[in-house]
Amino acid sequence: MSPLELLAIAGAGGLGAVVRFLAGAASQGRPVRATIAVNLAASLLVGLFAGALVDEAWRAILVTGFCGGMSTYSAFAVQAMEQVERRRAGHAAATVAITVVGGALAAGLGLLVGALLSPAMAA
Amino acid sequence: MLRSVLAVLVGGALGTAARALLDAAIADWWALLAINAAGSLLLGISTTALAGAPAWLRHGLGAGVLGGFTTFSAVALASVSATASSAGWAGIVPALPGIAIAVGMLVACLAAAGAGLGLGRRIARGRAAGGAG
Repeated sequence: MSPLELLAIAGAGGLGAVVRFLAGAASQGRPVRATIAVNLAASLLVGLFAGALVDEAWRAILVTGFCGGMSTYSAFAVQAMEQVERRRAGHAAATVAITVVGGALAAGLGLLVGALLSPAMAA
Repeated sequence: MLRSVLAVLVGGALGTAARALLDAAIADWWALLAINAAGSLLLGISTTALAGAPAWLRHGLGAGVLGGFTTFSAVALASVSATASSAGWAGIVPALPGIAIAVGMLVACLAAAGAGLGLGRRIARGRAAGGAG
């Protein structure tokens, strides 16, 4: 990884973090839903990029940088534990199930669509 | 609000760079586990210990640095690719590596986040007691 690549990855990650922050700010007091939505969207995108992009540098910038910065594990884990602490075990279980299962499905769908698009992009 | 957005932009770039460097240096699934568990612990601590800090600082550190440092998309991708590469898509047995990654990450990070929230409260209480005394 060259210094320029690292800079591009970091910049993309910063932009992804801003997208996530703005989604939370726009969620009108529903931060858990915002985190779920952002994580599922980033999982779909990461599958798409990983499936469709061949160029290593672009993959690193978009997959490690943008999608990595846009998605978050720490906010998901902390918000789920806060739900547990508020004795909302059902809410916490729903948060975890939707995020983990939904994220895998979204990434799988993205990979599939990305693989279908890949020859079209190469042509 | 603008100050928070700028803090998130800079913090997110720093957190992402740290993750990219660690990931390149270790290049194993354990790196991701360590990154996400450490980030969840630190976010738990800062959520409760820094509750009274200025908004831009909380946002820059939480949503920015720690949000950018940890990643969910890489876990989702790993949980699916481990499945896909093990032996095709059929059956429950080839899905096991992917499920193990998803569940292992979940358990470690939830435990870390819970520990962090408790630790942060203790820090906040200690500071309040120290300030009063």
